[in-house]
Amino acid sequence: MKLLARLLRTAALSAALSLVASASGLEPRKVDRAPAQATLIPLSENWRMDGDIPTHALILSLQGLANRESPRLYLEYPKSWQWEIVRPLVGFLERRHGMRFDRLAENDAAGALQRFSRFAKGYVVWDREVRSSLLVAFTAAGVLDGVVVSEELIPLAEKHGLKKLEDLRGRFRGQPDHQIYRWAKDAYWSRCSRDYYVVLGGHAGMEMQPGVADFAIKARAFCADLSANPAHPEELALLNELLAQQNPGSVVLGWHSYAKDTEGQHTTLVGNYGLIMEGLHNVPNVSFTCQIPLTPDFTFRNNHSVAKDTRLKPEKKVYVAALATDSMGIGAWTKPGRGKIPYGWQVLMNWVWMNPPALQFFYEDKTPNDYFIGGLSGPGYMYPKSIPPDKFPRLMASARDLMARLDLRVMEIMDYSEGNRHVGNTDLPKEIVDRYYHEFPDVIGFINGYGSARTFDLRDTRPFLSYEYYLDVERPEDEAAADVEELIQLNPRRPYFLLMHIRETNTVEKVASILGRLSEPVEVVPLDVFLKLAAAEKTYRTNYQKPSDPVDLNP
Amino acid sequence: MTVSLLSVLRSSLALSASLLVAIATAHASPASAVAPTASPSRASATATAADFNGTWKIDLHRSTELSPWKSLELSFDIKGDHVVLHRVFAWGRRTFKETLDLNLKQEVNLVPTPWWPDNRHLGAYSTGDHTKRVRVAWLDGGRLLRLSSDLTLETQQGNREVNILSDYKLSANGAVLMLTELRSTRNRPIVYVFTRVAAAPASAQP
Repeated sequence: MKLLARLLRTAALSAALSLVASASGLEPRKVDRAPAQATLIPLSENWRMDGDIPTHALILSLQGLANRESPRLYLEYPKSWQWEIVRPLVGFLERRHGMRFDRLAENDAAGALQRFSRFAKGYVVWDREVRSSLLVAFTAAGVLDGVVVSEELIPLAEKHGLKKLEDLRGRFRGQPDHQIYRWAKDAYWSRCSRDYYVVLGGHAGMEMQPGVADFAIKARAFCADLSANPAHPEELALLNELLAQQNPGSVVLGWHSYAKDTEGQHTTLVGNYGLIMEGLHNVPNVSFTCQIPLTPDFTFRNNHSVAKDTRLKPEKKVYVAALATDSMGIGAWTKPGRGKIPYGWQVLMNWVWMNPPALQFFYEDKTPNDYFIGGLSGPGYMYPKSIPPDKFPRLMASARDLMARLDLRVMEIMDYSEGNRHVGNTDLPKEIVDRYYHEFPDVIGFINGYGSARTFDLRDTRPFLSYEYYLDVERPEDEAAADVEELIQLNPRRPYFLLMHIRETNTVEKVASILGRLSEPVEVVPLDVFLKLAAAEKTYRTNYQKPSDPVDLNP
Repeated sequence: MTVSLLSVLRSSLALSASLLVAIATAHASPASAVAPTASPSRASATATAADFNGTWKIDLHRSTELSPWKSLELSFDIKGDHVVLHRVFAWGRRTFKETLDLNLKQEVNLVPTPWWPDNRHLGAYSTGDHTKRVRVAWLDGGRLLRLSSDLTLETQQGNREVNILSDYKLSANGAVLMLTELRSTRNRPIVYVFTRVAAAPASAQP
């Protein structure tokens, strides 16, 4: 009997440990300390298929191979690159890790091969007449340890002693993408990672920005831009096949193709398999940064304005909290005004293992007015309504683990599986709200939405609030101020809790200016204070998604 | 209220003089003036009213910022006392279509409102019986179509009654249609400018 009890205890402990380790199991190995020196290559502005893409593809593939065992090669993307963090991070690595970067010339593929061709076993040729052949070439390069070249770059590769491993020229001409990727699956899938599938979508047509291809090659991931749109049944069928074979709780890295399907469709499908979506297709240098540890003197510390068990008493006034969630690396972090008003920032939690130096940079660079929250809906970007209930607890255990590591006390949720900020709904039924309250007993509150939404609740001292306002990047300040004033008129009871979601490149300065234009007094407070105040006096109605709410499957 | 409204307009909007006149005209007329018994011009307006017919596309550069939508198209089909107005909001593949079927002989028209597309940035939604009550009248010899709509919006604190006064005014030459909206809960007017969409040539029609 005692033996049985001990066995049961052991089994329970083992199960618990496997849950906690589910996220960390994906984590690439870190080096003990950042290298003293690394190579830096600036990349040009031109990312066109008929422009510099062949050179960029070669350098990216070489980066993946050179960085496979140790961080050696960092790429400096152009100033216009969506991830503006790529440049400040160089200074951070120099300052905090004592790294020195040896800078080569822009797009210096020859210089790169001179230094790093020893990490390649050969080259893979893609067909410039067939865009998708480049994504197949990235897959082959990861599996075969090759660099990716177009026809005119073959002499350069051979000059550095590389031999042909695969030649895709002429193989796919006239074929649709589902046929091309079916061939790639037959040829390479069995040798690809079951922890990562990489979607090199996003920009389409003549533009391609495969910034995360370096990590795909390092991880030997299958690369594609398969569509989740039912309008493309063959591609959708193949995508379903691939996702179904990936490990539970594994990562889909990259972004859907802007030309094929929608963010809502793709993320919903990924969620159906209980996988973790992590954007974007152009996130830079992951093969490098994922191996850099935190500096020994650093731990993640958030700016908590109130203790977890604090109880506050609101006044009869309008309280405003502002929150940016489109990733600090592409948003307003480096833009004017940060620190001017209390402001919330949703952390890309998986960056704790994908990009530790960037998160350390943000945490060390924060002002007293910057407050971090967790998201998005779990350990990555996911829609709770799309996740099968039996897969939900495991994923949320990972999210709890990440939140604890990052000192985060607020979980933000977004669900575009049945609508978006234009049509349909972004609300949650009671059953899903129940699940979040159950899975996150230690948070001080939940945030829901992207555009405005209307799921509201309060249980014990933990409010569940939706965004009241979405600040569009295009919205002029006077119209935005009128919007906020209209909300204040529409909600006459005080206290009124007005939560603003600030879209991407809107600056803190703009938000402060909008709030400064209001003809009615409001108090802008840190998000944790906002939630504590909302917990104390519930002037909002409990509301969940109703069966009669509109549904739009994001066509 | 009217004075302060115009003051705000003059200082913050680069609106044309004609637009200010249009707004002042709209604002000076209480919604009750559009009740059928108080609108003597209605019956005599059909000649000009017919010029509304057709499709109109918003001119974003001359209009109040439209986000989250990128386009708005209106189509009028006016026959006698019957006005059918289609509104199509769009942002890429995301669209919302609404039809207002209005009878000028009725004091109040009940119009289905499954969704409130006017400002999707706000936490405010169509609710209740999902209808709006619309009074409609012709003014100014048929150059101005006025809709006064009462609807209920759901907010985080409950339901809120809202009135929207919508003036559709044709330019003298019939080339430009200006929509001025005054929402009872909003401090600023909304002004949308539309130009006529030319009918497709016969050969291009299916």
